[in-house]
Amino acid sequence: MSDKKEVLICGEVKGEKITTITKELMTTGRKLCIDLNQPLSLLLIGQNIQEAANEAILLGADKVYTAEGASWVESFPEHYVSIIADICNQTGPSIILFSQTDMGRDIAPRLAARLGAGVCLDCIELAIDPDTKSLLQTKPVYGGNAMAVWASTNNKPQVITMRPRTAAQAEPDTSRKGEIVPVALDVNNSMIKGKLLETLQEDVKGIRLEEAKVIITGGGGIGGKEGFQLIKELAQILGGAVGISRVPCDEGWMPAGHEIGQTGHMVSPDLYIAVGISGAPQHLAGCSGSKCIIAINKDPEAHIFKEADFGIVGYYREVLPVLIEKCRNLLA
Amino acid sequence: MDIIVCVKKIPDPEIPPAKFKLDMESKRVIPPEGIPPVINPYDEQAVELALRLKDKYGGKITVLTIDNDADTSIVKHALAMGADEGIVLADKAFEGSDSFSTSHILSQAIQKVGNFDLVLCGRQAADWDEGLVGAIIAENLSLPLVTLAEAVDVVDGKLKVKRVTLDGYQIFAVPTPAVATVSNEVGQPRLPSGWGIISASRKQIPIWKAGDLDADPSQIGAKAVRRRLVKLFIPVREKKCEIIEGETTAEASVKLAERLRKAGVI
Amino acid sequence: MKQRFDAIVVGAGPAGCTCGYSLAKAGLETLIVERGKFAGAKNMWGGAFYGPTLFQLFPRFWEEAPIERYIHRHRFSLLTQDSSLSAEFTTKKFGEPPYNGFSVLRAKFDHWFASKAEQAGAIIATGLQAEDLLWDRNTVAGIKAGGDELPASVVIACDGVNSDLTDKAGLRGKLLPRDIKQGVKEVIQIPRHLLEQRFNLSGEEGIAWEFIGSFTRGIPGGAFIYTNKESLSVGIVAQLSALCEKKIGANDLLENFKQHPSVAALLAGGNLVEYSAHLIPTSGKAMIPTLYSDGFLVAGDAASFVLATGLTLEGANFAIASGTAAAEAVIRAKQKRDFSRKSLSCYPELLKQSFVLKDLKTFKKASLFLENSRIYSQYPELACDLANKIFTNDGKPKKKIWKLLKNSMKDRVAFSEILRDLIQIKRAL
Ligand SMILES: Cc1cc2nc3c(=O)[nH]c(=O)nc-3n(C[C@H](O)[C@H](O)[C@H](O)COP(=O)(O)OP(=O)(O)OC[C@H]3O[C@@H](n4cnc5c(N)ncnc54)[C@H](O)[C@@H]3O)c2cc1C
Ligand SMILES: Cc1cc2nc3c(=O)[nH]c(=O)nc-3n(C[C@H](O)[C@H](O)[C@H](O)COP(=O)(O)OP(=O)(O)OC[C@H]3O[C@@H](n4cnc5c(N)ncnc54)[C@H](O)[C@@H]3O)c2cc1C
Ligand SMILES: Nc1ncnc2c1ncn2[C@@H]1O[C@H](COP(=O)(O)O)[C@@H](O)[C@H]1O
Repeated sequence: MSDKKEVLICGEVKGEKITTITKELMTTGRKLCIDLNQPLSLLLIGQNIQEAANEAILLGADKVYTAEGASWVESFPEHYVSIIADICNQTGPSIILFSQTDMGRDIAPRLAARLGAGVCLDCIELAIDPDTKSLLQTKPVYGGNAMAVWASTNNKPQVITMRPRTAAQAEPDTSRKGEIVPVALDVNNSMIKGKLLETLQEDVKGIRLEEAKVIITGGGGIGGKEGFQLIKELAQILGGAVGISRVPCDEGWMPAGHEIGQTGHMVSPDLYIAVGISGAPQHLAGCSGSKCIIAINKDPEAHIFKEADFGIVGYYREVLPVLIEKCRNLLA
Repeated sequence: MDIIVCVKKIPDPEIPPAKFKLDMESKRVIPPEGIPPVINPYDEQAVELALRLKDKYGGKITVLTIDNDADTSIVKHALAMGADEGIVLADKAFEGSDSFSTSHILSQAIQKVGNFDLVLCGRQAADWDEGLVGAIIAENLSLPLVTLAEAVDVVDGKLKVKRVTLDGYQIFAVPTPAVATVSNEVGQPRLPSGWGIISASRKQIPIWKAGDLDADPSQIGAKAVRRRLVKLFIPVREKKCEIIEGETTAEASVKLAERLRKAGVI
Repeated sequence: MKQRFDAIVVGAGPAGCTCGYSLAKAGLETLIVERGKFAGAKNMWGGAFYGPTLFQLFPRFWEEAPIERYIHRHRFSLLTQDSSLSAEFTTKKFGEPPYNGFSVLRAKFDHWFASKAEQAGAIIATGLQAEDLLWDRNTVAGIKAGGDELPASVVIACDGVNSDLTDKAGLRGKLLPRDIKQGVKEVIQIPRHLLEQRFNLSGEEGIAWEFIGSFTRGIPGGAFIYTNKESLSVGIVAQLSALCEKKIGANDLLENFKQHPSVAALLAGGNLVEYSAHLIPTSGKAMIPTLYSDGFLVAGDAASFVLATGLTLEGANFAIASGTAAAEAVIRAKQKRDFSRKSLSCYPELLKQSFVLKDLKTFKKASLFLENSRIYSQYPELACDLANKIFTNDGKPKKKIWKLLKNSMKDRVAFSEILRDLIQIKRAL
């Protein structure tokens, strides 16, 4: 174990590049490192990750551990737990950061249990208590109705997952220097009992929700499949993506992959138009970071108006056709 | 196939935001008057998934809950849906537990029940939204884990588990026994039938105390927690919504488009 | 586990709990079905509970039941826009066991009551709604609930006002707005010491306070405040048809009431913790449905056993008494192994022996009288105006009270009307 503790980020790569969400983690990690006076390390696991490792140094990593091996999409998650636990046992990090992604939320709790560490998922803010040096972890609870701030209580490492879009992406600085440390993967594979049989990445038609600048979301108020024609039309004109709340998902009006909220996509576009959406906290959890929220709802008392910047009280079938027409003209 | 499902009682998560109250002093959520607590919706879906497996492959379903009021209502709800046995874990020594202690208690209870092929938990409890317990149980019991399960099948003596991801799904094969956490994609849980409710209300629900479990006293209760709640608050929204008005809805809609254009958002 | 029950009681309100308790105690296989998540989940009442009915079932029940306070004082007030005129009654006996009345919160009280029935051996199935009756030719043979058929020798409908089952059994048609009153109630939390200071209470003492006056805008109805341990039950009861006609919501009237200066002072600093709305059958024998048929009985609010005299609103004690009588009738029928209409015909006889039908007969005309809108506007104004004139000291020579009265009556109400109303009061009360 090294004598100096470090902040360790478990990074994700996609197409040999560091993902944008990992870049956000680097911003968060860097801030903690300054307050703790500790170095920032990044762990990359996968194939062909040298390019990404170099990039990571420019983005602010003092050290990059590279573990060439199977990639996340191909292996059983426990495999990862073993690899990371192994590295942590050698390097003794004070804080281990993941993103709240499919991978992060799966691995972090089990890793924490294995390391005897503390853990908190889905944080939106981290800070170091200047007096006690303990890690303060802010996390939405009760479906987003409330925020909780937790403090770590012991000297054990803290495993954290950060909600995406809660920090800016780290910017590369070509003058930065760092160290790349290859680590050997001598995990006893016989211990890992599960096997990944198949992965399906649904073809995202059009723009991915996370990357969309404009999102039009239809909710329970749309009342059925055909109502979504208007939503799609508006999205097309504004160059945006279509989102849904839980209700159209449960009712099968639209594919579940469009769901926005606590259990769906977390988005923060420039413009979010919520049509026929009541504004339940679990839904807002997924879109409250949007720059401008517009609510179209027939009920002036709907909670969504408390969260929106602009609103129209009215039936969507009366609003959308006019809005579509006018936007078409304005953008022509 | 014998299945153990962990279920938790939580304040109704679907109350309107205006009814959500908390006491910042004691850092506690005040349960809304007159709105009874419910079974965590993901746990209800876990019970549903277990019942689908039972319908297909037979076997026994046991539900476990830690509830310090020794309230049997949500266990009875699961029994009314069709689960076979229910056990409530209640003891003063459990009070103040965090996810690790909760998982320790549940792991001990699971071992005491014994003879299981699958342990199901909800993906997260919709009160504190932790999403930890299922994974920690798997680690405690050294069992394979699949999170965010939508469907489970048995193929060649192994479990085939479909895991929901953000843009699709993954399918895993795991040997039994295993642990899975269940996501809302499972769909609507079944309604209890008349006879289901009646037979559930007749059942004696055993209450297990700390002494009934082989639990490590240093790992349970408030003294074992790995973090401390320093603040609990309702975030204030600074936004003020501008309602676009017009003589008619159409007029308002035109105005909205113009406003957005002027503001440069479209 | 499927089986046939001796009796299925529908509804776990006071009527159903009493009935189920008594049946189970007598050894009958009894099922109580309640659609609420637990007994009391959906129920409400003002919160004053009178009479010795419960005492007969559970001697010293006040020591174990979740009672808030015993009613030590009754107060009655007439309100106008900005004045009030009150009368109060108390007697030493009200403060001694077995007490005359209690304030209770139903979520807790019904829950306790249901647990008594369960301890006696009844099965309580909550979260289960009786959807329909099961028939064997012309005889009720059980219920349909939760997609299942649940057979029983007899069904006792204790399903409250708007009783679906009574309708389905063909004993009564759907109720119309004029047969129903709307009640809305809030529970307002107030620190105990403040509450006791404000209402001048000590220990477990409580007050039941009824109001009538201008706040109902001429709609027949009234308001109440009952004191609980650390909260107040504040509510209003108003005739549904008049509310519909005038397009006023009962909650608007409650707001009116709460804003009256003398009421607002009582509620100041309080915290609203619960709101509920419920219907109440209009009392009067005219509303009572046929009470039984083959394999079927009706009790409690479902049978419109409610007494509203204008000074008090009583239903819970009638529910308990009628639940007891229904159970007794069923127990006798079980002994004879005959649940036919003929065998159950002792039910109304048993009711006549208790106070239920006697009281309702005594106050038969009360409901008619209570529809007289003058009670809700002119008379309170008249009384307050008169009091104002008597008590205001403006330095001018005093007039005779009779003269003041005549003066106050001007433009409000004619002598002949008062006379007519007085005769009506005499008949009604
Ligand atoms: C544990 C948990 C997790 C959850 N996670 C999520 C999540 O991730 N994402 C999510 O979205 N939900 C989630 N939910 C569900 C959430 O609580 C709400 O139930 C859901 O968001 C409601 O969807 P809605 O507002 O679209 O529909 P509704 O609640 O049905 O509201 C419809 C709205 O449309 C309006 N309306 C109706 N007709 C019209 C019309 N013709 N024109 C205009 N307006 C109209 C109505 O006034 C109303 O406000 C979760 C719930 C729980 C308990
Ligand atoms: C505002 C207000 C103030 C009142 N104040 C007083 C007072 O101060 N004192 C007093 O004595 N009385 C008062 N009453 C009247 C009193 O509440 C009723 O008379 C009494 O509750 C009647 O008891 P019950 O058991 O007949 O019916 P309820 O208490 O109405 O119980 C009926 C039960 O049946 C259940 N149910 C209905 N249908 C079904 C079904 N199909 N399947 C299964 N379950 C079903 C319901 O959920 C309910 O639990 C007041 C009423 C109101 C509304
Ligand atoms: N007190 C409890 N009793 C039984 N199961 C629990 C309890 N707390 C959590 N669980 C289970 O663990 C899952 C995840 O909970 P959490 O990690 O607290 O979000 C829940 O969905 C339950 O299945």
